[in-house]
Amino acid sequence: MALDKFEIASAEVQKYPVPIESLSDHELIEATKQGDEQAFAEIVNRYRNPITNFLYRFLNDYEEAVDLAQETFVRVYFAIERYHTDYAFSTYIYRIASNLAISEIRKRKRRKLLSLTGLFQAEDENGVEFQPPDEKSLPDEDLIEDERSRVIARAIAALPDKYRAPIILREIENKSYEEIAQILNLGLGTTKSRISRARGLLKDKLKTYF
Amino acid sequence: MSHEHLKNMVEDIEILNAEDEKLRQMLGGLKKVKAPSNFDFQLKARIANAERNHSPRPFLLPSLRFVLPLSVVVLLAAFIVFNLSLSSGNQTTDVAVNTPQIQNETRIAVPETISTPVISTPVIQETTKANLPANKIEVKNSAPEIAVLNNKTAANKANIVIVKNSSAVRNNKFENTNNDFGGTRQGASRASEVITPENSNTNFNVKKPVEVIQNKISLQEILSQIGIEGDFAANGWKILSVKENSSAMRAGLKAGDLIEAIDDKKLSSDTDFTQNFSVKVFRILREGKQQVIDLTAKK
Repeated sequence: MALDKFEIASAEVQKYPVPIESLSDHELIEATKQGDEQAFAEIVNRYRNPITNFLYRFLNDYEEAVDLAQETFVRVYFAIERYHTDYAFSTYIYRIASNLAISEIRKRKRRKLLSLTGLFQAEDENGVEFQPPDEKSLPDEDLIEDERSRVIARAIAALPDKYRAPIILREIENKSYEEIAQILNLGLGTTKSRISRARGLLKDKLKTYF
Repeated sequence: MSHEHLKNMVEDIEILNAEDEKLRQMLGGLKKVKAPSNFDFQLKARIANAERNHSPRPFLLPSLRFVLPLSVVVLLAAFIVFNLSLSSGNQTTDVAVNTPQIQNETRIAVPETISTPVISTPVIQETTKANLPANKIEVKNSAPEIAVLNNKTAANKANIVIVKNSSAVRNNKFENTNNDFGGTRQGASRASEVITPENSNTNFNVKKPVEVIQNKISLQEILSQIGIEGDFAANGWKILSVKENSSAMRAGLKAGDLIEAIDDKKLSSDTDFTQNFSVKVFRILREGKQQVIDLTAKK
């Protein structure tokens, strides 16, 4: 038994001369292409939380966000042979996730699903109905903070699709303008413009907090 | 004034920046959501399930899935239309085979491979190569004048190819009569001749035509073709009737004449013609006197 463990450990040492956590995304991708599931598990470990968070902020629905995050990794796994290292892997995986999220939003619109987001969404795409919170009824600081977070989340989720993804990537995921432009396949100027416009819309929605 | 304006602008920008900064803090301060603890387990199950259901990419592009069957259908339809057009062309030429006007300008030959009985009109026999004017013999090789039938089904039964240089045919002036001279489709379809030019480019399996007709033809058939209805008498064939406007009538043959010989061949009850025959000269007995009547002589 002990010998077995030793052999496994030796094999891992031979396989990865450095700890797997220190390998770059591209190295992990190459190892995954060779059939190394451990490398793919490390990729999942690195990106599951950011992707889930991004999708949650986009959809404002945790179950849906988890489901789409898993779907994102499934797509990555099956399309790993077609991935080229021309740009960062994070850009690649965020692009898949944002495309899935946008598709989901469109499906919702088609099905006329009434999610929490839908309650605040007007008939036309750009119109946003938003009700400011009633702060008088908040009993203590934690509840106030929770309520404020919910209001902000609703305000983000009520943004039009084209403004929602850029502002989340910029202000929540802390991506650079260039990376956002690559993820969303937009020009740099368009990306900046949309982020600025999203800020303006959010300030209008959240003006009671300013 | 401008200084105050600039001062207001700076204040506005500072306010905007402060708002942006506050917004940034608000958004950045949102609680980070984490994936559930069973995320990896669910993901592995999902990938395994997807691998089981993973089908290889279809060989054909979606557009080709429709284009290929459509092409096959179009080709099939084209093939059927082509065959139908050939069949109709075959029928048209069949009629032309026995028309009197083109007889002088057709040339009959039988492929050696054909074993079916061959029926040929005597008039056609008169216009064998040797009898045709030189200019008309040359014409048979001119490609633009060749009408070729190429129908496999028809070719199996009666290979008929007609070579013609007849202005009458081109102008549709030939008579389509119902007498025994031809002009009927029945008469034409009975025939199994191949009338084809030398060196003609026929697609089906026809050997180079020969100048002889090898198969047996009864005398009664021949007489019927030139318009004579007769019966065998003691010393020859008695003409019972002669059809109007037939070759026999134009040559001067009459009812009551007794045909003793054709081209010096004495006739009996079962006389037939096998090969190298040509019905040109009739030796008859009329009112007790022998006469020679030449069918080819113009009256």
